[in-house]
Amino acid sequence: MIHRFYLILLLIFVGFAMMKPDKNPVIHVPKGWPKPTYDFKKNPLNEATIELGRQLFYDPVLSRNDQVSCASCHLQQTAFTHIDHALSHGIDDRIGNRNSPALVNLAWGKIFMWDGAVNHLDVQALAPIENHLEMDEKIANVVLKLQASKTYRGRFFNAFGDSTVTGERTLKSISQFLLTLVSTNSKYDQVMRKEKGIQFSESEQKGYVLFKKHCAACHTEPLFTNGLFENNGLKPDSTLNDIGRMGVTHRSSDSLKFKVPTLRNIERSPPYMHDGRFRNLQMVLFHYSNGIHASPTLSPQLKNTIALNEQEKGCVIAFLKTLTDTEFLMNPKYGYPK
Amino acid sequence: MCCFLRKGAAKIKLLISDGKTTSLLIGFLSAFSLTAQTDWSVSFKPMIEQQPLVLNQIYAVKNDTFRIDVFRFYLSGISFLKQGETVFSESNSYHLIDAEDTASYRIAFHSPKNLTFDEIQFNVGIDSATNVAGVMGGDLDPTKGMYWSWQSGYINFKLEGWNPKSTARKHEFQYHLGGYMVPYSALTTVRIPFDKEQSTDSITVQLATFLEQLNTAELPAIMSPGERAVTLSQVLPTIFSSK
Repeated sequence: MIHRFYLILLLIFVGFAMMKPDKNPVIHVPKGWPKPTYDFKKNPLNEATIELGRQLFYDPVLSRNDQVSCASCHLQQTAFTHIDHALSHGIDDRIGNRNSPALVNLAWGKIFMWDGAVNHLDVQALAPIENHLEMDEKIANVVLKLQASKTYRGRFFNAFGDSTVTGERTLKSISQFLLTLVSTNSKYDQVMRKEKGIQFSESEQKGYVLFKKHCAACHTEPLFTNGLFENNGLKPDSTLNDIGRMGVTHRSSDSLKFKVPTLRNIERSPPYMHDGRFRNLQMVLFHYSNGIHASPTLSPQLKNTIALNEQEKGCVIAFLKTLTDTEFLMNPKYGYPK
Repeated sequence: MCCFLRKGAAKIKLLISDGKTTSLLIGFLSAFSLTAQTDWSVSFKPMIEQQPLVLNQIYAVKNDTFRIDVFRFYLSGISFLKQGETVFSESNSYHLIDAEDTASYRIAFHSPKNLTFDEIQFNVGIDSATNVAGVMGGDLDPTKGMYWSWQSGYINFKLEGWNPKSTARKHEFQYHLGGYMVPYSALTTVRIPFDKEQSTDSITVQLATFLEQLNTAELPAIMSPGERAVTLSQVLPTIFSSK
């Protein structure tokens, strides 16, 4: 009897030992950061799904002619933006309407695209996939192409336990990869964490003080965006006539407002602004000190001139460069899948 | 077991004192299967006047002519009422009705037996909470052709076809009605008499009523949220009826 009891105990023990250990990956939320906006309960991260998402991100199969991938306009080394192109170009060399945004810390994003047309990270990828200037494909056809691929059926099996490809699974996998793109290890972060031997130089420190005074109301730490829509005083470009947020809400009070972009890795992501009109940070700083175009929806933060001399501008730029996170930009986990 | 029942009774009392009696009590009772369950269904039948809708066929409606190429819409939040009180609400209630797949016309329910009701209520389209909740599967999968990629949100109701008066290319028309953001929410609620037993019964979706409201000469297409989508969506509750 006693023996049988021990045998059962042993079996229970072995049973527990054979259970898959719970090692679901989680994204790192640094101390003092807000809680991510993304609801991970609805799409719990797991390694196989993240890997599937990475494959999809780098695979031109998402485009109509199998030539354009997400990475075409979102290169890791340039902070997941399309460097050197004011307006990003897509399929058949068609030119888009805006500058592709940096992909970073998306788990904290509330609303996506320059005008907030996309309301959730899970449906973000639909926009470039179906835009006729970008990938010009249909999500239903992407699903057919993936379902026809033995390799992808295997990857979906690994991620979801069966090999059925659906729009939901495809998009949730892409989300999983995007959610892992977390940048929290720039020099700025290390200084804030008071890491040993790391401190701002004199000009970076001076730039940080000026930044907090003039820029931080919109580019709020630690994400360096308040996630809101603002008119930052850019003169409308008559070749584009982009009204920004108003195109989505139809409210005139939203005219010429665009989402405040994060400044993380800003050094690596020129050109700047929704239409990529500024080639470098000097031009951006000149805009804020000398080039504000007044209009009824201009951000209240910009109604008074920001007076910065050349030396001060240099300091602000020195500070902005401390937001570059080389580890993030070089991390092989985010790169082209081997 | 006895203790369990006592706890249950205490819970009921608590709920009654909360004043949320009806709906919670129903939920509680059905969850415990105190009453037997039954499977039944309701069919939604798209018609053009007296004829069942067949895609790509030409119909005369009053003094006009129409051909329907695409017809798809969402039904959501289906519930049944008796004397104004909800007697059964379908949970996770989202259904795509698609004329290309007539099997989608029939909606199956699993509910307590011997329900009686005199009205049915449902939404035409998708509620705003679901519109902002990310990507969904099943009937709500974005591959169903009922999701706007360029500006997040579901298309509640999609009708495409041909009418000689249309000023668009090839005299075609396209109405994609949707939008969840205030003040341009195009979601409409239908509540109509439905005095039936739980048997297979049907609700008529009278497309002629909708077609008569169209002005394909002046407005042959609506394909984005806004005032025009909201205005035309107001017609939708009038196209449903039970015999």
